[in-house]
Amino acid sequence: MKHADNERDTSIERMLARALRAQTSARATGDCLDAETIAAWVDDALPARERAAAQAHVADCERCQALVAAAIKTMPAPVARSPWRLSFMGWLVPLTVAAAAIAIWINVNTRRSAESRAQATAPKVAAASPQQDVALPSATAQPSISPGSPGSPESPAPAAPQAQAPATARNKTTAHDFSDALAKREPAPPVTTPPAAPTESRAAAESAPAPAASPAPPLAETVGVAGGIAGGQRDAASKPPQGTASKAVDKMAPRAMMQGFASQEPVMIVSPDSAHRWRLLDSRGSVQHSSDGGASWETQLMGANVSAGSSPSSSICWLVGRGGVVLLSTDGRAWTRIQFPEQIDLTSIRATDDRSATVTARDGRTFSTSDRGVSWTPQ
Amino acid sequence: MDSRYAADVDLARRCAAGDPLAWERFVAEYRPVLYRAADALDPRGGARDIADSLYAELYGVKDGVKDARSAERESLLRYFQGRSSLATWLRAVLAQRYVDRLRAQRRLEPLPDEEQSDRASERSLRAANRDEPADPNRARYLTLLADALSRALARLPAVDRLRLACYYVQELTLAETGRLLKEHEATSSRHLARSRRVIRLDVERQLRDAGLQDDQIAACFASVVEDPGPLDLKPLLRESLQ
Repeated sequence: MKHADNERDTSIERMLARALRAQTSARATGDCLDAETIAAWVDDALPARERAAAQAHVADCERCQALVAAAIKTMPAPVARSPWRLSFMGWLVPLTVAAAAIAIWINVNTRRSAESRAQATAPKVAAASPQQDVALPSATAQPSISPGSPGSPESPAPAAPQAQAPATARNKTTAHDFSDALAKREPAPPVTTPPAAPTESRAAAESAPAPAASPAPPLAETVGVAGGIAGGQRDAASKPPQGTASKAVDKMAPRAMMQGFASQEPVMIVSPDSAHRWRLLDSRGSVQHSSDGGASWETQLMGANVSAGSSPSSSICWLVGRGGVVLLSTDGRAWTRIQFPEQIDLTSIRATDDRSATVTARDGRTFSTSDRGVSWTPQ
Repeated sequence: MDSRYAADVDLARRCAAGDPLAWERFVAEYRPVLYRAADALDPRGGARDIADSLYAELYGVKDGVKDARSAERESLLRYFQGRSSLATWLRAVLAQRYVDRLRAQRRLEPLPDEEQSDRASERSLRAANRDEPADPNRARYLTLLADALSRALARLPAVDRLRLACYYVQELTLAETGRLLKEHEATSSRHLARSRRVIRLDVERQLRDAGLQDDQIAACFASVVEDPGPLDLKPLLRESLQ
């Protein structure tokens, strides 16, 4: 039936031109339109009634049909939509698709490489030899950083006024709106992975080394930087430390930038006693501590420039960051700067106690200390 | 006068009054418009002479006056009243002259495409007669169909007829048709499809009213489709009368 209708429509179409010509020749009546009226029609300046009358006449007048058709043909093509709109809308869809594809690729690739490096690097850490000590400067001069102080000497970023707030303030860290928002959603129950090394963040869960690669003495879970402590050289060099300053981001490849944008979650460091935990908040490098499982937080440091940490016990926490920053707290409150031999960005750390820790630099190298940073051994 | 075109009216009046500065501006702005319009009407340059002639009239040179500077000028621009933009008015005047010249030429000589279509129809008819016996009802069917179509068209609203004419007779594009009728080309396309459907249903109803059965109605439409050349009733009618 549909086919028959189409055939008949075709027949009608074939007859229309001639039939319409016959109609216009036979029915033309009245005065033809002058150029003034046609121009006004084309410019949409005819009053509605006059336009209807003009249409009625032209519908039946062959000459006027030809005239308006010729007038329309001489008109320049209408102005296209705004070039900005065209270009923007024209590119929006492919750009969005491309961005989504890149994001997916990065995500998948990051997970794969993190897993593979976790397996490859962990045994090296376990096999670290103390004979490989390098000459290190004395680490005796270790400035102590009290809670709420502006931060380490190598972290010149001034502390925000809010950071001077009493350490007991609950949910009043106010270093950033961002941290406020996080504090509000923090009371969610902690997610723990292996019993010996409870973790909080998704990044930690994804980057945690495989159990088989863990060294014999259980190291505290390192939380934070994508790729974690087990990250290999290529990965460590290419990935931005999560939650670090935007200064760190500006040197990174677009891929790393995208990761940074995608991961706005704070780096969480959870002690074996999951009630005690630290979190590192975004670019100002504020360090917050919770002793009640994340229900409340107090700001301990501002501008610390740290990006990852490790807590082997409820009172001990190590932090690492840009420019060889290593911080240690042995009472869960005061922080001490540990000297590190190189001004290199440190991306992760695993600590076993207040004396022994292994850090990974941004270029993938790892260093260990067993004397609270007096000496560091490259792995 | 539309207030949007006050500046155009002012320019036209100053040009008509012989203001040389105004004429210079007119030449700079509107001469290209005129010649682009001429090229749009006839890309082979056939309308350029009309544009030249119009340009002279816009300046005010009368036919037969050899020394334009010494003669009293009477510019065509004095007729511009500002109901549209000056550019559109110029295009409309040019289009008017172009169409009138074409029509005058057609009166003098038959259009070649009509001659060709006549011959094609006759050829197709002869071929059909040679290959297979002609359907004795074909001429009647075509006549019935043409009459029904004519009546169906007459019953359409004027704007629908105009849209059909613009598209099928004047061969405007959908975009041009839409621009004339102040609607989007997609809307024009939709209206055209609707008009064709309305016409078909009207024609079918008329044929049924004329006593034709469904298969005969189908044969009516098929007789148009089978004809490879442009539909022309004249040879068929001549044949049916013999």
